[in-house]
Amino acid sequence: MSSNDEQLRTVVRTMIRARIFEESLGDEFAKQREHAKRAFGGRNGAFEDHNAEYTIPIQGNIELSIGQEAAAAALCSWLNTDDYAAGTHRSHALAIAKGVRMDRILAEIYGRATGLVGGRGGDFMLNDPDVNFENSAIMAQLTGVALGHAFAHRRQSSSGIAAVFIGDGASNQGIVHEAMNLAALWALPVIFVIEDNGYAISTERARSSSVEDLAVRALAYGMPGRSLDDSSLNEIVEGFGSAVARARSGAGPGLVVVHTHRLRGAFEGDNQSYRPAGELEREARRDALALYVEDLLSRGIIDAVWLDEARSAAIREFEEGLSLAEASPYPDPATAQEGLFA
Amino acid sequence: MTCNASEPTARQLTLSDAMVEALDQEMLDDGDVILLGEDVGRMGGVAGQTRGLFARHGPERVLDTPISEAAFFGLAAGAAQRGLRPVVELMRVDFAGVAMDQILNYIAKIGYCTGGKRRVPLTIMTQVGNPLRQGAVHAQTLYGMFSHIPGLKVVAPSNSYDAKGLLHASVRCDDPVVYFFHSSLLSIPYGSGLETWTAISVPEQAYQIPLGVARTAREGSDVTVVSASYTVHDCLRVAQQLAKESGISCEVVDLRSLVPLDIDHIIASVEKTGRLLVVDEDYGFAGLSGEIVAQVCESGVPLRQPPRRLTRRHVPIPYSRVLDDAVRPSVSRIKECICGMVEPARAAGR
Repeated sequence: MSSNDEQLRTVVRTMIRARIFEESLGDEFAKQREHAKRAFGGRNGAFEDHNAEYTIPIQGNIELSIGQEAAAAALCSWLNTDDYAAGTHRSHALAIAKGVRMDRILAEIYGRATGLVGGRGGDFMLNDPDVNFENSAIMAQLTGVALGHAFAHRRQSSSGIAAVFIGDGASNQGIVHEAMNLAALWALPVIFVIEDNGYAISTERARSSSVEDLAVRALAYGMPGRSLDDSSLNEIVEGFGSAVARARSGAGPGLVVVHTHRLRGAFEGDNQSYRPAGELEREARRDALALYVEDLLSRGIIDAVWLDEARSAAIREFEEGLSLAEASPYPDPATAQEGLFA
Repeated sequence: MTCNASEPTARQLTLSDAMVEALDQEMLDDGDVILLGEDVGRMGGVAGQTRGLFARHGPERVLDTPISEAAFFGLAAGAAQRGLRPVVELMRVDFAGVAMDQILNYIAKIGYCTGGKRRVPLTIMTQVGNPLRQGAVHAQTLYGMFSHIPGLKVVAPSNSYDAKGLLHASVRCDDPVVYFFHSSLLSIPYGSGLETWTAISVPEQAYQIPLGVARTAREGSDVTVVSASYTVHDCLRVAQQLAKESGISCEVVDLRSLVPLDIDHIIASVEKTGRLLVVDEDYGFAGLSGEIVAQVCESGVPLRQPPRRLTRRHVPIPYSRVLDDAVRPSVSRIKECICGMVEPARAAGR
């Protein structure tokens, strides 16, 4: 499959939207945490019930995918609404790339009735059946579920496929290996994507995986495995294009490993002191989004006006989403016990 | 349903054949019903509970899986959200550990946590019990562990009629249902040592037993004995013996469904008898038996004496028969327990 300029612009626009969404969310979270610190020296502390003024709207941990937007944006540029895409705890970029609305994500993170799932899932269980996206904060859990979407697509003779993201850390979960074997055995149209950012929270890949290039694991299951570096826009777009085409053609599953860079902590507030001195700065210089923008500008595929417009549109989209989240009602507590069963 | 095998017209089926019949009818009726699990296909299940289905419905709908419970439970959960209605077998409930994340954190939760935007119409069929005395990891029942998880419905039939009707209802249900079938009951009504009341008639046509509805297996007035699956038969045997030997009248309630729990049925029975014994083959501590006792007490129904529980002791199931017998509920223990509850009161003229 080959891409065209419009597709490259789409990929970069998606990455810009994801980047601005997450930077803005991170800023908002930092602001709120600062506010809470005044009361507790932390946020949402043990005594928050006694000090509602300092209870902050963003609940839980925020885990940002800043620096690793490329794989999500490139893959989704080949997907249709009916294709399934499953993410991890670090999946805002994938959600946005798959077509989930920013305002509904924000409202969900804010625990509001207008959230994607009405405040019942939160950031770790975002779910949008309309565009066939979900994520899970249980490492590699959805590698199993993705098989079912792929199985159903094949059984219903649709040309749909399933894609599931995990990180280099989660690639060592047992279910990943079960799922790869079963997918290859039954020739299911599923793409396993490993975003290799080099770290599982603080544990670097070399201390958790027995091989350096995780793509070699595909060989053990009789499927193609490919390692891509996210420094090249064309390589990553084309790479996903051929994996998607292969899955759609009925030839079975594939593994795509994307070498990428986690430019924020494992969670907001993680100071990354476990990284060797200078590493984070080196990683930042390899930020795919910055490289892509430079590349497209130099090739004349985008210009400064396009870039400004893309950024302002994303900022507006976030701000409108945040307003919706803040203005939305909380779910009715009387409904907390409803909906357990169909 | 109280059809009796002694009726000449009764249609007797073993519990495993009743399961096969329900699955076969569901698969004929609905092309979206698929069956998957280890050895459910060519072999027909390790206990014959899926015998013949592979030949009748083919390898696209009756799928032998690799030994990869996490993967194929996930597969079933995903497929269930795209219009299929999978029946997925966990060969023994003891193997739940390797499938548990999918069950605990996905299958059970995704319906509620998406505000009903997604539902997982999935039946988890799994074998429980210890007739072969296989030791700690091929013998458990784990009724309580699954009942404890919000989002799962749980059933445990005690006879072929219920086995078929509950399996139809489970497959038709739009929620995940855990269907426990007991090793000791698979060959009823032909199994040795089981009384004639186990051999109730099984209609050939499809029928559903609603989830969440208990039945009174035997009426009585002195004590309500609540149980599920295999131990219902132990309770019935004791009830029959006590009626003859000492005139004690036991009402035996067969739960059929553990979730939803038909607590109203139990309370109505206790209202009549004033006494409650819960017999549970599962571990007692923090289990279903305690839940039932608590709910009955909380209901405020007058009790003539404190309720009792008879359950497995809180140790892993030991291998040696003599050790296992020392820690499991049995006919003699049930009998002793009921006599201990009823006889002193009788002697005192209450």
